[in-house]
Amino acid sequence: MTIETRDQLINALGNNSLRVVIDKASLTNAVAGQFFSLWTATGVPGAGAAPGASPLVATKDTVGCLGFTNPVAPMRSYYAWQTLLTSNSATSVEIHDRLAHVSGLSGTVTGAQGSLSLVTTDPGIARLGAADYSDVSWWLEVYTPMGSTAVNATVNVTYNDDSTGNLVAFTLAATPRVGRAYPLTSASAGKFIKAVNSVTLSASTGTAGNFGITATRQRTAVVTGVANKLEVFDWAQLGLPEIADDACLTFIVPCSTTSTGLVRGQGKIAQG
Amino acid sequence: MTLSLGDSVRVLEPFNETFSDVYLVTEIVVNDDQSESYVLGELGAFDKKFLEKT
Repeated sequence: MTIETRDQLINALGNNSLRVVIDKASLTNAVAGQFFSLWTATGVPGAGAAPGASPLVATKDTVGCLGFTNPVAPMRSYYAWQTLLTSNSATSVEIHDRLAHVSGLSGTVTGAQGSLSLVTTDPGIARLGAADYSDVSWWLEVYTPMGSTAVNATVNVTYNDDSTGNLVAFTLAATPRVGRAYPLTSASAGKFIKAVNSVTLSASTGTAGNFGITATRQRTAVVTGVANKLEVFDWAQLGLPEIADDACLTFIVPCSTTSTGLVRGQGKIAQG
Repeated sequence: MTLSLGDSVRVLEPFNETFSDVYLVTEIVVNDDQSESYVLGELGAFDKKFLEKT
């Protein structure tokens, strides 16, 4: 069963929806124009932890995500309503399903390190989306700041056609802070990443820190224009994305200033 | 191989796909962990093992 009509949606919103609460503390030392994951930010939901050196599938039961109860089959879940208040103006908040993650990579290692595969660490097709992995976003995510030497990172990946290659090298800025999320983008048009095979830094940053590889699937995004003014987003504005069973819903902020700011709101997951 | 300020270098694998030109060493830095890095202008720092003197 799916929600296919407005009547079904109205009924689900009014009579069969789950309320979720967001109250995330600000991450400081951010950089305007860059992405920051709120995974480790304190508040509600609670701060997520660095996942460790073994790749893991994240689920709705992983601390750090918006927990919810899977619907009884054949019902499905949809993100259908959201309020948002941010302490910074012009704040965008992306809601992602955090599919899989790994950490324990070091800022002082110049050899190839780390890997994360959505083939061997498989959250299931319902969460992955398109079979060619085109719905998946990949990130290098910082859990503990690295050192003050700015270095380059290159990432070796496997694409959806099983070919491999290096992504275009990019700079890890001096002392990348907690939550910094560097997007990993396919270097081959029409191909999509299904596994990260290794990360190589061009030099030691000077401090090991802790960073990792994260795979997510964006489900929706909301934006505030004015600080501390509540905005309301209905199902049409959100795109009514389906939320797969066990999805690990979390937040990524494309930062507009030097902090992510407080992020507060409530949402409804309609089931029907 | 010894590198000095002003030396011309090529960048080796796996970074040569992105940085395929010849570059000058503009700064030599000692990192907090006492490792040494070679800065190629705006390209940032590289370990000696990723560089080849031209």
